[in-house]
Amino acid sequence: MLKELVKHLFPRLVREGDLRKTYTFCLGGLAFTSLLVLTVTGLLLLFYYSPAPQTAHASIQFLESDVWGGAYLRSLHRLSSHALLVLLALHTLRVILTGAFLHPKKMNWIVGCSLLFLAIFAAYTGYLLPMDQLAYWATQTGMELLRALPLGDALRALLVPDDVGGPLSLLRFYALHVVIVPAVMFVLTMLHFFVIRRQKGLLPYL
Amino acid sequence: MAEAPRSRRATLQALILSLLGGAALWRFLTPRAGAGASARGTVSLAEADVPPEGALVLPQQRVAVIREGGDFLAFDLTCTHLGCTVKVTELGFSCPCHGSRFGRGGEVLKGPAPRALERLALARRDGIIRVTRA
Repeated sequence: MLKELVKHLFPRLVREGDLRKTYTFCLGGLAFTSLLVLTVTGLLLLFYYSPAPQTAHASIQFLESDVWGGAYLRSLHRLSSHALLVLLALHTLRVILTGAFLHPKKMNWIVGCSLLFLAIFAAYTGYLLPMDQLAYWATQTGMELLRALPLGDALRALLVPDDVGGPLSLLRFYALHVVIVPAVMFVLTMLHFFVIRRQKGLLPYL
Repeated sequence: MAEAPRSRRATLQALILSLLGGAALWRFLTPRAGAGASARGTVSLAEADVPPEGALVLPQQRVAVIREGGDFLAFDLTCTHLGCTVKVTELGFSCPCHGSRFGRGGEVLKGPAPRALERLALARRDGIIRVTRA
């Protein structure tokens, strides 16, 4: 049964032109791979991270110094997050340059843009979690930038109810980073792939 | 593909439900103030703790009290650019985040900060200074 399931994940037919590497450069596929690496490493990091201001930084130091492979996993999580953002930016650029956001693929353009913003938001919420100086001040400045937006103060009150560095704020960033944003991203990713399958592969604009 | 048009009643129901749900979620996610550390309130310190022609810095409260001759000035150390805590230097204040510089009177010497540092109200009585933050 498992074999059948895996078989159905892949399309029955693929047009040869869709496999042309110089058209997509497989950027979306590479971004998805980064997302999978992030999921696996992130799940493992959950076993050691403690989402409270007093213990967060110590828990990461413990992970880095006393856990076999801990520093490697954390580096991998960080590097794949960089990779995801770079690949998504390039993927977006490719879609723009090949005109793949046009009519029949409008839906996937909107889903894709949402995924891009969610990925940036996931990176931003993850940035605070180590609770070191860089994390603290980067989040502080980001939250200050948010106030420039309409309804920015309300958004800020939702994200950091007791100011950057407070226990409630850290817990909120943690919840967003490990559950809410990844869950939405996963659903939207599946939708993104489903739309491609429904349209029987890529539509060659160029 | 013809879809049945959404009825007015269903639309209104969905609208009301999502407004109620949104309001409930908003109340749930914005607890009463005072749950965490707040930068508001009054700070008290002894005049003798402020060195002559120098400054006493309270980084936790983000307050600095500067003595110039017989005068005392209190400043909010929150940078007017993006809210980092500025450092007190010999010449005034400097922000470690994006390099803004302020003079000893809090005025902007170098951007990106758009405004001078906020002066805080200060009351002196019997050698005790009380700095109030609104």
